[in-house]
Amino acid sequence: MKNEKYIEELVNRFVKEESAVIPNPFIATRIMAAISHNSQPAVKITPLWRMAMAAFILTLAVFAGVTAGNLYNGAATDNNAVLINDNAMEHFGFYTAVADEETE
Amino acid sequence: MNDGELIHSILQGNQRDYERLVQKYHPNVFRMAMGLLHNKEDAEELTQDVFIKVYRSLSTFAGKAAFSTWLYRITVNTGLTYLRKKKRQRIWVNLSSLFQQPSADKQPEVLVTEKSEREIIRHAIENLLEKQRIAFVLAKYEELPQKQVARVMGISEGAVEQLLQRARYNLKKILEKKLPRT
Repeated sequence: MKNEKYIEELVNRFVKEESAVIPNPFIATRIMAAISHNSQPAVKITPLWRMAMAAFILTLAVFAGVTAGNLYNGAATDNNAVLINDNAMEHFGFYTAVADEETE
Repeated sequence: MNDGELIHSILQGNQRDYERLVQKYHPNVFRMAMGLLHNKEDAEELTQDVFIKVYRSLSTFAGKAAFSTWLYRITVNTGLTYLRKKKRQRIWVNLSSLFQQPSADKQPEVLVTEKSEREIIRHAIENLLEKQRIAFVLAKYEELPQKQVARVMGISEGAVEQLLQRARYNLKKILEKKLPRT
């Protein structure tokens, strides 16, 4: 079993060795180059025109969506469309229309 | 020029003064990064990330605390985020290694005994709880007085004392078990 003092000495030696590691001498230059490369200011403020533009585009998209939704007419399927579209349920009006044609 | 004057000048647009600030504080940030990551390349990368982050948020520095306290706080937060990212990467590496053939060169017991004391101590520090680890790094690597450690961590001095005691106790417990007997 290791004694407490021995363990503390080992930990202290480890910390001392790691603390003595010297970084790359050009690290400050590297940091400054990274900052210049990104060229972002200390405070980044979103310009007002950009925010207004985003709000305008969003409003336009909502308006277009609502208008497109209102244009749709659910009862506009005629008899020919029912024949063409296999996925549509055949409605009763189709059979009465065929019967009418036959009697004519 | 003191820190306050330097910061004022940087906010006026004098980027050159930021370099002076980096020159002054990078050894401290790097030492802390070494304490958290135990690897020179990772510590350099973290130091760079910290100073970029500091530059971008310099205008938010209110000047209520010392600049160094604020800087240490950013270093701790960035370091913890970095560690979590590394941990996630390690999980993926470990998962992928499950599908690889084990090395036939050495028996696992031999590999364990070959582990150096340094690696065991590093592992023991890494296994400390997050807060204990931060207090340990600030007090041991940066040799900050408990008062400043408390300010950086935003806790009382008594809480720092307790964290350091627990860190010491846990390190001793882990190392007693893991260090090879001589």
